[in-house]
Amino acid sequence: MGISLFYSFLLHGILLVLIFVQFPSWMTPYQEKTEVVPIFIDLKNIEISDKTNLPKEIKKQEKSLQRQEKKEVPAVSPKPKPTLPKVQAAEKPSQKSASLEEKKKEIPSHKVKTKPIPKVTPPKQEKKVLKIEDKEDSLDSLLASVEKMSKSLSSKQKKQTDKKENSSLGVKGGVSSNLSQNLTISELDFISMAIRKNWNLDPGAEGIDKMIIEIRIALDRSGKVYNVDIIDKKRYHTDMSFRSVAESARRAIYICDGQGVESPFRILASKRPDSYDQWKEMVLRFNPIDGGVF
Amino acid sequence: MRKIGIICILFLICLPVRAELKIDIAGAGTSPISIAIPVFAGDYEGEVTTIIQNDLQNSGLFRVVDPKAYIQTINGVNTPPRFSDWQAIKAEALVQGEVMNQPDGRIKVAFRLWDVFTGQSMEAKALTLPSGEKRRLGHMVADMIYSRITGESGYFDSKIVYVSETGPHQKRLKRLAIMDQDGANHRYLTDGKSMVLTPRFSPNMQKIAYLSYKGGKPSVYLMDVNTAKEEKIGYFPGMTFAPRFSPDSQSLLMSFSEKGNTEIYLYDIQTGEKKRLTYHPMIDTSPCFSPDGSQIVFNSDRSGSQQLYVMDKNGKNTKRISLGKGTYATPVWSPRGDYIAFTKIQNGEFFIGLMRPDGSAERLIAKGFLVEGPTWSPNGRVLMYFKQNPYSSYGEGGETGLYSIDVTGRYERKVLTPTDGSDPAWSPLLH
Repeated sequence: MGISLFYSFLLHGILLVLIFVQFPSWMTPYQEKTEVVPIFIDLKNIEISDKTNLPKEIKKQEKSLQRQEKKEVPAVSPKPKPTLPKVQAAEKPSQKSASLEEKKKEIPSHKVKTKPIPKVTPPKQEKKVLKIEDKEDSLDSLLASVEKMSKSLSSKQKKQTDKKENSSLGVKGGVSSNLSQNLTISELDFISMAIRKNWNLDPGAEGIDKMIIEIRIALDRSGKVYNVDIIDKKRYHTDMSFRSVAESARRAIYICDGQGVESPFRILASKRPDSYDQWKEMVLRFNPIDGGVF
Repeated sequence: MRKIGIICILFLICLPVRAELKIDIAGAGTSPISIAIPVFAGDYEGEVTTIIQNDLQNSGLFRVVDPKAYIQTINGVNTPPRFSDWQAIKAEALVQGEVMNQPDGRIKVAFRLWDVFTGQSMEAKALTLPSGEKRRLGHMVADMIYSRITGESGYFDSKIVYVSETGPHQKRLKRLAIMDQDGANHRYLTDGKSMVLTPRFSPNMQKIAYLSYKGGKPSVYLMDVNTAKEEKIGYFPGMTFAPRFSPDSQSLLMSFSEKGNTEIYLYDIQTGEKKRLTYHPMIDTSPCFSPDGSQIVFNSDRSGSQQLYVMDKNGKNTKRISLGKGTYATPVWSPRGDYIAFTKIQNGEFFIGLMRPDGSAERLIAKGFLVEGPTWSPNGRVLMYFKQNPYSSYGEGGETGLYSIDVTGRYERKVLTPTDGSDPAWSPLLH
């Protein structure tokens, strides 16, 4: 009797543990395991925009801007104009609780009609208010920080609506992992080709097929190169072949820079003065073999 | 504590992620580097400066800017260069120097190499040699400039031994001759009474091994470079040929032919001991050591046609490396160890080619009616070989000359010799 009870408890226990943890994969049905549905994309449904590889945040902000603009056009509810003063009012919080209430009121209206960006913040505030009711200090600081964030967001939105340009968001906002997304492919190709034209090296150099030389350059607003720095200094000082190829790459930069108004950097500066933040410093990656030695 | 945590999290959120603009430059050109070399102060006849200019220009990697274009006058190594003047004439590097006669009768050359764009001194050296070796000073300075800019050792301070050919086709006079790599200081080592072929420098530059028909029977001989004294190698009942030194200059690889079979032997110069390395009924010949002395490349027709093989220095682990069409001959291992140069015959045409020691990446860099006998420059960057034009039905033509070509096959030039020349062999660096 005792043994059977023991086995019963043991087996039930194992069953409960398995239910809690998850059944082993060999126990799950085959269809569930191999439920890999191939994704087919209908090319007809893909919208091709005029600008590719934009950072996500820029895209979001562009969308929100477009929506705001759309909202302005229909005569149904002229609300976009009042929304700006509301945000501005939130910048000067005379009574913290009151401002929070105002926000709460604003947010549902956005949710219903426009789906604005500061969508996540209100629930967080609510939760924290509920949890930290007794600690007024921390609540105050939290509210202050939330207000600051809303301030910065609103100011950004303002700037965007004023300028309707987002050329240097990648740098300042820090949202982009690759700044080259902000310069067009043709602009990047133009610089690359101009440097390549002036890059000459000894194709028989030993180990050339295993070299990639990275050089960081700094440009002033006119596109003049004022600093050239070979990044891998250790290899530069120890590997003579690498030094030779790196110096040839450095020469190519100086030759380009010495071309005056025809310098690719100056041309870039003249065409994209607004995005100086993007190109004021860049890393040039010289790969001798990939593109062929001509 | 919680406050601090919240502040930290907010700080991290607000911290801008800095990502740099990266641009890829794939591929490059091969135009030579523009270098300005004003006449060295004290080099009144311009001999040293001219040697430096010619060496660098003939390498194919440099273009000496026309001296007429120079804006600034440089007087010795202590004149501060005005880099803007040199940039204006599109010079990328600048050499300034001076030649000084020392009180002890020797000659001193000092020079500075500048990067015109950065204004940095790339090299600054002084060399002293006896007055009779003024030309060598020029070659040595050229080697240093070449080495600093390319990252590899130079090859200008070196010599060439070759077979000088004179006379009509049916009665050709063949003599050993030696000269600087630029053709200067030419002199004959043999009188031409016996035909000589395939001379080879020893790595220590003290001896030359070659095939001579002295006494009517072809045999391998050794000549002392300084005294021109000859000696026959060992006692072989048959014919010996195709000699090549080991990297330590202590022994010779050569072919020994007897009763229709040719095998490769290693001959110890000091002890006279000989060791057979190949055992095959077909012809094995043209052996050459790898630079580290661990392997030997040779050609053999054991597979039905003449192909290249690599074996260990003891003759074991033989492996065929040439797998292309045609036949292969005269393999030579590069001093850098990265390539094996060879002569290839395909569809009636001759080629000079290169392949990796494992037989991969074969490419042909020169061709002609007859091109043969490649030899490496000391730095493994340039090959020299000989080229022969066809004879006409009247017995005219047939000119034979030496040519050099860089490993990329882009820059070929004729090496000037007083007579026709064949079978060149490049010495190691003299300094």
